[in-house]
Amino acid sequence: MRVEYYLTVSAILFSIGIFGVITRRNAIAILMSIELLLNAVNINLVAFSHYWGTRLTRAAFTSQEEILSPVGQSFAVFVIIIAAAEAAIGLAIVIALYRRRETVFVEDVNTMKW
Amino acid sequence: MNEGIGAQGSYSFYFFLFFSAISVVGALGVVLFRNLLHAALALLVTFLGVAGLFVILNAEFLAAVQVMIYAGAIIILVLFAILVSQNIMKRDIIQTNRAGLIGILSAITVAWIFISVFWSVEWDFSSAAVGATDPRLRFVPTVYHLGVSLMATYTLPFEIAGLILLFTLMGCLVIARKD
Repeated sequence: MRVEYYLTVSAILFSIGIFGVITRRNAIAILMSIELLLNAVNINLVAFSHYWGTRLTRAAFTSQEEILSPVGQSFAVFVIIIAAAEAAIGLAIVIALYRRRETVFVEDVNTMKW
Repeated sequence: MNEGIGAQGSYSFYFFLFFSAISVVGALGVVLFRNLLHAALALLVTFLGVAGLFVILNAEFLAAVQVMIYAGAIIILVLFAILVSQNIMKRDIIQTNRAGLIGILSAITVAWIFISVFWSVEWDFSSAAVGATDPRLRFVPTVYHLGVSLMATYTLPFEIAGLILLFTLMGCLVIARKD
């Protein structure tokens, strides 16, 4: 099975996420589309990690010992961590926005427009 | 030498089609459902499909993390936010008169660029890692190497990620409190 199959799925998910970010009017729906983007990137990283295998990396900057590390999967773990943090902050902002303005639609948040 | 060194069964293509179809259909549900709850459930379906893809790609720990964190925590967050911010008037019934055409054009352009680049590169995995061809390491789960590398090679990003989660927690408490 070729690696391009997984990359194609990742590209399709990414483009659907971009469509959602541009099109949706609800801020929570935009945040959900951003999660789609991050999942597409995760598929890409893990696909490459599967096809490259584990790499020999140095255990620390100052050591010569070498360990096997799945680089793509490590990167994907960090992407998941950051995505969770960003979803939490984004939804907190949406909740605060709803408390003040009684709306969750991004087109109503226009007080800074000229 | 496009195969790479990961071991895959003989039916993995059909599993790949199954899980990628689930993911794509769920993604379409996220962006097309007018009802926000339906979109959140479609997002849950997408997360589970992506977890299935991770299992095929020999990343079973990452699939479990995906189910726990994404499908277990982020979906709950989204549902709580939907619950808190319910509008009486369902204005989202109105169709995408904002930027529908631009959205479709940019999505198709991005997908076209990515897919054409991905399929035109001559992927060559012949210089894959030395250690993975060791037959003893074939049966070690990837979580072992993932854990060791997170503690040894990637310690700094790991600690910074912990700090980011701490700051995120405090920030969410400050942003979303009633005053």
